[in-house]
Amino acid sequence: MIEKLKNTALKLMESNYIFSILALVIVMLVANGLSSSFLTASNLMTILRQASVLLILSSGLTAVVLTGGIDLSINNTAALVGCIVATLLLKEMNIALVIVIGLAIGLLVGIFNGFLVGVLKLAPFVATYGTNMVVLGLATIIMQGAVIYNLPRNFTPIGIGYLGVFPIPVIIATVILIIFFVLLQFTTIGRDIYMLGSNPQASRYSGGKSVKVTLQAYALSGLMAALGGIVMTARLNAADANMGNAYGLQIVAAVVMGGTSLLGGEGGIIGTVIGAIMLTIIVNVMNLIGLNSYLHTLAIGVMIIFMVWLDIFSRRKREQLKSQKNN
Amino acid sequence: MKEPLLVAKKISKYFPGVTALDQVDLEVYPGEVHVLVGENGAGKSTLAKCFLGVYQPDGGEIYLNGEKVTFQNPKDALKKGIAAVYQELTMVPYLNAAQNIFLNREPRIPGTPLINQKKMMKDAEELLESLSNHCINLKVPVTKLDVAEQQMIEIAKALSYNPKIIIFDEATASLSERETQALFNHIHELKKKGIGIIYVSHRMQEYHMIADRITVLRDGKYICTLNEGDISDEELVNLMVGRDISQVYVRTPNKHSGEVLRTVDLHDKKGRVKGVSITLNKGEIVGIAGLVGSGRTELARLIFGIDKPSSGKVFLHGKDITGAEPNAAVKHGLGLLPEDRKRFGLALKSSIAWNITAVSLREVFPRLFTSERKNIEIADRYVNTLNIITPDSKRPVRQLSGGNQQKVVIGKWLSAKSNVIIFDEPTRGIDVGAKMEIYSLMDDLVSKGNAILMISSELQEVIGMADRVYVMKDGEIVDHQLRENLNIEAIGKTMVLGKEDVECQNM
Amino acid sequence: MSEYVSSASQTKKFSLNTDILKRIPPAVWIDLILVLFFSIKTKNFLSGSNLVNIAVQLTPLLIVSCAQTLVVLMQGTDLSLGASLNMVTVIWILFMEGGIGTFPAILLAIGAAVFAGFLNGVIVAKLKLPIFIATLGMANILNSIALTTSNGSSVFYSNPIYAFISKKVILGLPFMVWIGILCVLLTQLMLTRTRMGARIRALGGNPEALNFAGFSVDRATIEVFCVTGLLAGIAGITLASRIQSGNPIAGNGFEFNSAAAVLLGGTSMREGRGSVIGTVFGVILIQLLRNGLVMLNVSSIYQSAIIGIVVLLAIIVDAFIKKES
Repeated sequence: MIEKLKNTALKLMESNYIFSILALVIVMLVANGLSSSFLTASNLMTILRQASVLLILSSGLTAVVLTGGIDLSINNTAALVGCIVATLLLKEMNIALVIVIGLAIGLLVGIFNGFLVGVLKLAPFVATYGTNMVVLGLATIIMQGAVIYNLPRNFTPIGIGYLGVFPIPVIIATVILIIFFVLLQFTTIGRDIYMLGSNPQASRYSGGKSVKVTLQAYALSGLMAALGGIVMTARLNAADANMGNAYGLQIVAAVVMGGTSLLGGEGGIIGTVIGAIMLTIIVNVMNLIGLNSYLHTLAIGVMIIFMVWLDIFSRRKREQLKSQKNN
Repeated sequence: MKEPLLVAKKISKYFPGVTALDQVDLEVYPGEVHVLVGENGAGKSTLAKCFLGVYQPDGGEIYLNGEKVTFQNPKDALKKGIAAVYQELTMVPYLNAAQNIFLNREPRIPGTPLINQKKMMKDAEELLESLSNHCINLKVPVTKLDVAEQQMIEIAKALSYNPKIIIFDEATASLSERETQALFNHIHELKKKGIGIIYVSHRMQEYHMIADRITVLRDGKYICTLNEGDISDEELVNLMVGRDISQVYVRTPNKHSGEVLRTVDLHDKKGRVKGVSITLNKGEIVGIAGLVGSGRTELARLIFGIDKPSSGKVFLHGKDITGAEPNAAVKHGLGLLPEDRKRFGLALKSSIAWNITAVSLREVFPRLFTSERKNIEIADRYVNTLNIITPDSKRPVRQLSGGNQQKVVIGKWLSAKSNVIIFDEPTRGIDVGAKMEIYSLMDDLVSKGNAILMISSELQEVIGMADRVYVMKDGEIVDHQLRENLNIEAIGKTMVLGKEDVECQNM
Repeated sequence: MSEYVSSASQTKKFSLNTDILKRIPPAVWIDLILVLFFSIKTKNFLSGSNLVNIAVQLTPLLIVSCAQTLVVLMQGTDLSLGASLNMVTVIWILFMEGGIGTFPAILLAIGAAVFAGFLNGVIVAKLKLPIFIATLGMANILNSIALTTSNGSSVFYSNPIYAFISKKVILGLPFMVWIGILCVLLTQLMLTRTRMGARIRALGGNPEALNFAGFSVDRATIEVFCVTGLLAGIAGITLASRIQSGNPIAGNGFEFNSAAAVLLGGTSMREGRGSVIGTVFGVILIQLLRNGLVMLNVSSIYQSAIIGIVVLLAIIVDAFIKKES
């Protein structure tokens, strides 16, 4: 057990996450500078609570990006599932059943994406971008432009309830993240994902089943989109077709800023945690300094470009250094 | 006696930790085909790149037509009169021949940004006609032309710069016999124009047909310059390898019993493999010789399952695995060391350890959960047995040298307990020391009862290692020889000319 | 100039002919079917006024799709085109509102779009980001600008230029349709008949070839994105003229629809080949779909969803067919 922790710590220092950790520290210092009550336990818990939906949504994306793909349909899938769940709850269907249905829908979307990318070999961003629009359309049709409020009292605790001192969404997110960490680092499925992302062709030449792994990754992503949508709906106590809008870019940003490479094969869930928390703090800071909400996306857009560049740039530099050392 | 076009004196080139060229001399006369000969890593391409402005020499001088020159970059070299034709085609697939030749130099209608199509076509026609009577359709995208025509366009492109010297760097690596012959015809035309030709290749079969003079390089050093025909092939190989061949390829005799692999009349969908039937027995190394483009790698892919055959059968240990996906073949003990190991054999970003268990993952960890520690334990066993040089097996594979990377790929299949392994160009890009290790590994493997199918375009290697050799040409097996009867010259000729022609020649 | 075809290439010529048939983009077939369907279903479909109406509606998408064709030829997709439209419509109106004359405002607005394209090019070429991430990031930046400056809702400024561009009929077609046609023709001319067009094809087919030919791949990339910016800017002006306002969300979805139009029009991302003419058919397809849905009285809530589904289906079917061959 201690071995595992030590290994994890060593891996962290192997510079995959260095930039993200540094960035997180800087961001926290800036935030603390702006508001002295920032580094208190209760504030940190608030931040975690705010970040929980984002954490859930980006966990699935982490798996997909590790295979070298991308999933741009998470935010609207979350919205779709939220809308369907809200609609069914209003009809007084059993909560457990509703949740299962919601998760199943997310899973279906994920499998659909996996089919497009893995079997039909469509470019991931074309396929998932298309799915994203279709899913948004479906949500719009279902909601007919309306917003649903006032969800049943036994549902909303998922989003706003507490278990002791811990908010339930934080508990859910933590459980999910632990599961993903174990899945990606310590199982054969996770290994397959890393191998596929590292070199898809070599995977095939090693007798690997790339279609299966791709389907698994996108299915996970869809499933997490659904779970995130359910928690989001519970937190907001409302549902409408466009509620995924805010998250669109943030999900990709969280993964990318956490040091997981878009090229696949490098990175992991720890990075995503750092990225998601960092992003949530940044959004908080932007609100604190009164930045126009529209400019948030601008800032995030710039940050994504910067972080992806940093990732690509630092990788090339590292390769150059290492090959020089070798020769 | 004419003056030499190009004189290179004591050219040296260093890379971190490696001396690629060590005081090499070269002279090229107008209208001469001067072949640079040597093994992989001997420095032939490096020298060529020094003339092309890709590299700047660290020592020595270059004279062009008596004047001392330096080549700052490829554009500079082109301007000064040195052009190249490479193995990889540098063309844009959906542009036509004329557009490719004149890319970024297209003649324009004066006063407008529009291209003068008529003039461009006419100029392209002239260039191509000067090379051969064969007319090429100038209006179709070049991807619709056959490889020989594409190569001709590459040469025309080089010619359009009015070069004094044209360097062919492994240009025949992907050509069939007919296409190679066409290339040689074009080279003859170039000679008539007084252009000096430097021809880089490690294919001995071609030297006889094209060379006027030969310069041998070995480990970056200049060995000698000879006229074509001065020495025999065996002596030439000894000069290239630097030691007696019998030292390099050691085979322990063992029993060949029990068929493990058989293909019956295998055809692929693209017509690169036409009715191939071969067998492989336990304890054997069977070689498949042939020029690249003869369909050998395609055959390997058919057997392994990457491509599906259009007809024919593949039997592994008696089981019909025709058309099965790779993972089925792998389960029954088949392995493949691909030609391009970086692209198809390794996950470069991943560690040595995880690469070694890439295939055997679920045998090593049958119950879903993996353990880094156990993985390293297992990997280290292979690192030791195979003598992979690395401080530890957690390093990413990309940090290893070519030879060690190849050993990791071999380790991968050993870990998967494969007993029938296809080695496709196993020593490409590997230095001589590591080569010998791999040869002795192969020998060791088959002594233990495994079987190896070895695909190679290095004749010396095939003849040195194989118990039996199939010769492939244009997708068909044209010859089959046992070890006792193997002869470099005969096999070499068969690879290029086919069996009947060789027999006709001998009659 | 006579056609040089040797006997060996003679057989090739025949297979080329059937090849051309196979290469007719899916959009053409679907367009024929849709036109037949609609002309049966609705009385005035093939009437002059209806066709002109369709032409006006599809012009902005047409111009944007010309831009997208260039990017797809480079094996990428520009996800910022819709956002560029949003920005251009908004800042054009705002510039005029702020006292800048009509034509200088047009130039400034288009200039901003060109600059955005230039930034895209720099990010892709110099920072080496994948095209979709670079343009995704840029899309959010441009949308942000549009939303912030307009405060989230449409902006208005009355100006006779809108009517001129969108309604003034010259030789049977409104002015903006001519703009669209001009854009298509110039883009096609550029692609097939200029050095820059050859460079774009090289970027998509084999960037190495461009290097060997001595032209910087980076510079070529930035060039292309500047052109896409220009086209997006022009499209934005025509769009604003038609809706007579600046709208920060009017352009949403254009990037997807234009990519679909390009792909269905036969331009292949994987091979770097294709032409703007095929894209025209793709644009017609999407517009016919939309028109058809309106005519069938399908509520606008459903329209985006249905179009999205149909387009995705078409891309999937196309991928299936390619997989079989």
